Parts: sequence; C-alpha cells; structure tokens
Amino acid sequence: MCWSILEPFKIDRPMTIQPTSILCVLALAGATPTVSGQEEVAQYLRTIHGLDTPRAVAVGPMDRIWVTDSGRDRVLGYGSDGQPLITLGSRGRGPGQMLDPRGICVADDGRVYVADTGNHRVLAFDQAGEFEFAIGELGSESGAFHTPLGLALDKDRLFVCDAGNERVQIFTHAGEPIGALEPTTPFERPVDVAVDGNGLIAVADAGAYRCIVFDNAGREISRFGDAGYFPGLFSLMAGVETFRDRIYVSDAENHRVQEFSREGELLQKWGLHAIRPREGRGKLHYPAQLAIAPSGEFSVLCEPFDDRVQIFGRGEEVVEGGDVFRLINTQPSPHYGFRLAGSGHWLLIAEPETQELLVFDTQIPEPRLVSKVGGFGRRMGQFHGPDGIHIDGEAQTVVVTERAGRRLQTLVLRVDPEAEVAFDREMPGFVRMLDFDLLGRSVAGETLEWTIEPSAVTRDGDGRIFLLDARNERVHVLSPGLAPLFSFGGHGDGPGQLRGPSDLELSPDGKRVFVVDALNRRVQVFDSEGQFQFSFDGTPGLPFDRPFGIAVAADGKLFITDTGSHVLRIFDADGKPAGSVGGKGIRRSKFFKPRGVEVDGRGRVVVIDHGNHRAQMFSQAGEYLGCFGARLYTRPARLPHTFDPSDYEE
Amino acid sequence: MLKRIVVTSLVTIAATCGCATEPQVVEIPGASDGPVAATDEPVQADGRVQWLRGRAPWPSEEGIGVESNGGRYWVVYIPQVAEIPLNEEFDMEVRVFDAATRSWLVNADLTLDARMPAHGHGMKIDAAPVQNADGGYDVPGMLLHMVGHWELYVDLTEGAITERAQFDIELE
Repeated sequence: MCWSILEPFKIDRPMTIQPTSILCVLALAGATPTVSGQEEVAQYLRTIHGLDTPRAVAVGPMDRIWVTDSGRDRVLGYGSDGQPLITLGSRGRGPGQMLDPRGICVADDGRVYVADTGNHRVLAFDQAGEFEFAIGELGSESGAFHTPLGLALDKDRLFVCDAGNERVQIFTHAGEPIGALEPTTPFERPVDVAVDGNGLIAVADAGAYRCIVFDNAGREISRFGDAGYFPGLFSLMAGVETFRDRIYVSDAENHRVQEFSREGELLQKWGLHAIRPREGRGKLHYPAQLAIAPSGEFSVLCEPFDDRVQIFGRGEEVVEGGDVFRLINTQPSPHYGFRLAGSGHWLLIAEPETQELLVFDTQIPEPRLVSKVGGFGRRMGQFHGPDGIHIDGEAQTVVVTERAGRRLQTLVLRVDPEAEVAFDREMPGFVRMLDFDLLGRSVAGETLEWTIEPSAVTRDGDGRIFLLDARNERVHVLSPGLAPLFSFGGHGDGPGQLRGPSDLELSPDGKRVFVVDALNRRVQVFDSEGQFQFSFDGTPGLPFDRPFGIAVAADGKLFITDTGSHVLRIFDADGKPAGSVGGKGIRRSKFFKPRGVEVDGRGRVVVIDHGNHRAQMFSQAGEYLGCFGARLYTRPARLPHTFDPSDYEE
Repeated sequence: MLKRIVVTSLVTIAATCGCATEPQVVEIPGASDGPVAATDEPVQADGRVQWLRGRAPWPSEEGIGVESNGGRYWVVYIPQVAEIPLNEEFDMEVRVFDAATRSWLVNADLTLDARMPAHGHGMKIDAAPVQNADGGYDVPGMLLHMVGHWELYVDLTEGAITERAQFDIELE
C-alpha cells in the first residue's frame, strides 16, 4: 500500500511528493508522467459526470456520497461506486424545495442538511430523503441567514457558514440557534467549515484568504494563509475538510488542494491545472468543496466549473520526485474574469487570480494588452476582488468595484491617443475611492440591512453611477462625486424585486436600466429614476436558464449571456427575442459558461467565454469575428477545420 | 547618491494627450506670500479628473505641489533634503490645502505611499505620517531603494471617500 492516513507526515523533503495522506492521491493522479519518466500512480478512481455546477459534497453512513447539484437546484445521493441512488429537492421555495444549494453535511443517523443558499435557509431531510424541517430565513438576526454556504456537524452541533452575515452560526441538530464561533478578528466571508472527530473546527474565511482553526470549545487556536499563489497562500478558498488532525483547503483559483497541520504548517499541496479543456481524471480545475469518507477509504472533490465530481482512492506505489513541472511553476493561472467593459478603443477585463485589470487596446482588430492595473491589496490603487467595470472611452475614465473589498475606485488611463500602442504599467492614475464599510448602512435616507456589496456598475451621460448591490439586491445611484442619491430593487420575486442580480446596463439614451435578475431568471427594466417598467424572461421558445451578463448596442439591441444554456441571446430594446448564438462547446461561436458581455467601441459584441478561458467577438448580427485569450483554448476557434474537437472535450 | 528629481503630476501626462491645456511641471521654489487666485482653466464635470488649475499658496520653504486627481485638494510635499537620495532614508513633509478655498487643511486623514508601477512593487517601508505643530505632516524614514520612476501617492480621506494626489519622481 502506498500511503497511510495514520502515518505521520515528515516534511523534511518538501519538494518531494510523498503519498502519505489521503488527498495525496489527488496529486499523484493529477501528476501525469513526471519528468523523471515515472508513470503516474492511478489512485484516481472515477468521475461522476452529468452534474450541473456541483458545489458541495459530503460522505455519509454506508459511504454514501451526497452532492449538491447546484445548477439544477437539487441534491443527489450516490453509492461510493458512483452509482446514483436518490434525488432530494427540486427548484422552488416551498418545503423541501431549494434554489442554488451550496452546502451539505450528513449526520451519523443519515439525516442530510442542505444549505439552500438561494432561499437563505438550511433544509433537513431524513435518511429516506423525506423533507423534515427548514432552519432560518433571510435576515441578519441570530438564526437567520444571508447566503448560507458550507455546513458541518459534530455530535451535538450544526455549524453553518452564514457568509453574507460574515459569521459561522451554531445550531442544535434540531435547528435551534445556540451561538456562533467567535474568532479573534471578525470573519470576512466564511465559505466552508469542517469538524473532525477530535473536536478540531476549521473555517475557510475566503474574504480574508485565511483558515481559522478552533478547538472544540470554540477557542481560536490558529490562523494561517493570505492571498497569493505561493505555497501556503490562497486564491479563492472554496472548501475545507478536516481529517485526523489535518486540515485540507480547496484553493480554487490556484487549482490545488493544500494540507496543513492544525498549527498551520503546510504539509503538502496538490493539483495541476488541466492542460486541455475539460481534462479530468485527476487534473484539478477550480476545485470546490471536498469530503473524506469517515472510513478514510476514499475522498471526493467537487469541480463545479467542469460539472463533475472526482473520487480518489488508494494507489499501488510510491512516486519519488513527483511532478517537477508543477513544483517549479509558481506562477498563477490567469483566466479572464466574469466581467468586461469597452468604450472607445479600450477593452478592460478583470483577471481574478492576479486581481488585476487587463487593459486592451482595440485599435487593431485583435485586442492588444497594453496595461495591467491594480493587483491584490487593500490600499487605494490595489484591488480586493475586482468585479464590476465601466469605462468612458472618450474621457478615459474607469470605475471599478471590489465586491470582496466593498469599495469602488475611479481611475483615469493616462495615454496619449496619438502615441504608438505599447505596454505601459504606468498608465493608470487613481482618482477616488468610496469605501462602503465607511459609508455604513444609512444610505440616501434609507437604512440598509447590510453594508453595500458592490458588483456590476455603469454610468449615464450625466456621470451618475448605477451600482448593483449584490448583498442587498438593490441598485444604488450615486452622483458623479460618489454621493448616494437613491436606490431601488430589494429582495423578492415580485415586479421590481431582485434575487441574485448579476449585471445591469443602461439604454443608449440613459432612460432605461436593465437588470439581470439571475435567480428569478429574468431581466427587469426600470426607468432612470428606479421605477419598474416591465420584465422579460426570454420566452417564447427559450426561457432563460441562468442569465448573467447584459450589453446594449447603440440601436438599443440587447445581448444577454446565459451561463446555463451556454448561449448569447439577442433581444430588441423591448425584450423581444431576436436570435441567439452559441451552444456548449469549444469551437468558434460555441461557449462554455459564458459570463460578461459588452459592445465595444468598434460595435463588436465581446463575450467572456469564461469556461473556455477566452473572449469571443461577434458582429451584432451574431457573426463570428474572432477570439483572444489562452492559446490552447483559442486554437479550436481559430482553426475550426484542422482539429478534432474530441481532442478537447472529454 | 544623489539623483536628479523630476517631479511632474498627472497633469503633465494628461496635457500631452490633450486632456489639459498645457504641460505643467509644478515646482514651488520659494515662498509664496498669500493666496493665489485660481486660474481660468476650465473645470471639468465633477467625477472626472480635474487637472491642475494653478499654483497653491505656499507660506514658506521649498515645496512641490499638485492638485489631487479629483480636484478636491492641493497637496505640497517638501523633501527635507536637497535631493532625494537613492536607497537612503530621508524625511519629508506634506501639507494639504482645500483646492477651492485655498485654505490649509490641518486635520486631513492622510496616508502616504510610493510605488514603482513598472516594477510592480512599492517601498520597503511603511510610511507613517505624523502631524506636526504647524498642521503639516512629517514623514520620517522615506526610502526609495531603486533607480527609476517612482510614483508618490498622498491619499486623503473624508468620510467614506478617499482622493489621491500623486507625484512622479524620477530617481537616476
């Protein structure tokens, strides 16, 4: 046997992969033949396909595997051999129904707890899959939730990461609130929690890029981590698991899992970014929550980005030397983020891994990278979770929101338009920054329940800023000088109410505000003073699945990306369908989970083809014009007749 | 080792691209005894960058001033050395004025930093401004450790809004 979960790990050779713990098999399975010529060790067991954005996993009694099939609003139960056994829940808000579930845990008696994230509650099902009860509702008081995520159980307690309220609440197994974990400094965005049999409690605080460890009595005993891609650092923590005094953190944007002692000593790290699109079988791509079977016989890892769950078991031999390529390659894995902005001859895209803003010049047909702005940090001029972007191409002024940092910054691109196009990191000059934590919850005569969490942003011809507030599910309108003027929206599914809004845009005349109301699967239209006008849901023929981004052309035509159906939808200014482009795939005009969309200064429709790590450009009639991004992922679109798509698709 | 200091502001670059009326290298070589009227340069719409409008009053000593990038402040810094040294500590003072009224702001919430954008790094120290008896801010122990182009940032916070004034320093 090549590894033992009981064997203490020795870190005297930190650059050597020694398969001494359960998740080490992840690394070895993902290692591919090493430079030393040794063959990979086949601890990879199997993949569960056919899921839609699985975000959370747990292993319960009888080694049954439970997965939140978040994109389909349900929970699936499998045998340890990957055979499907049972389905829990369906889309909705009623008893036992759920919306975008993102957390799960299973009690020894087989009761399944599910974080019904979109409905801001926790559901309990008995071992037969019958709904038992719900815990909590949207709110900030004790026992209520905002965006519940990871769950964990010990003998008497249920721990719930109440991410939107920046706390970890504790309940009895019957759902009675009994307190909360109290770290020495407040949580910033706890996304997952794990408890082991020895009373060790670990919380992945993604907002602070750190893992916080508590003893059984809730006393903090250590904290470790920071933002970055070097060993021991994190970029988008997505899951945490504990097993026999070890802590395993799923480090999504670094495409790896790191193993620590309870004191925070890094013991191992594993993971190799998939080389080919959708490549799996041990390669890791945005790993999310993970679980280790109580028996220690196998481990399970969610990869929502690639719609799969991988299962790993014991291998047969030891690999010395490991994957040298991975060990010496300490660069981040840059990808295009969710949003972009274009105006004049500028195109801006956020890069999540580096937290930089990529600035492209589009004077030539293929956008050319001319600057990088920001980078992770909490000072002005740096970014903490850059999200929304808006650029006024004529004035060369830019607005950037930071969802994690809860700030908005404005900057100017200092460029001579007559000068030769060249890369220049000194291009940005930051102007102002609005800190929403300092602004507080009293905004424009209203008292908000939560501090503003800024997301998508745009600006009208008068310089007013329209800002999507993801946490309060509202749109705030700010003066050009960043003073709040008024807001509209609010949580709900009625006319003018929003659930999980993902993007907004203004009509060319500034008289209409289009808001992508993602979880309600519709686009709502308001006038510029926030009065609800109408909404549309994509019908007839093709209702929205998971709409995300929106762009408006000069003639009022609307372009909306649908992440769930992998298409770009086209509508007229009144929301009547006018066509679509796409479908799932990697060839030209195909998408994999498209996100942001923008009409650039040349009138092209630019789509962030997020899952294919590239951006594609179209005419407003939907004709393919080109793409740019990671070479391997753009090749199939550039050379559609000279490759076999099966080479790129599992 | 001294090195020549060339100080410009955002306006210099903006001016070259037509965003302002003319390039301005702002140096205040000596005392200016009283308020200086704002120039007649047009003020752009609020929320956009308002470039330098004119010299600020400067009561004494030698300083280098710029208008903040949003036009709210006039900021002057005074190196306490004849020339900024390479990789040696030096002291400086920063004074902040209201750009509209030209009045001295003695209770500004101020942070200071310097970075080399082309290299992607900042200083090796954390600058710690301390208000002095005159209402200015002494910044001891500044350290620019590399030859090249530095940007000196003075970030001023009122309520929830921070605005940046920045200086370019070329250390040769």
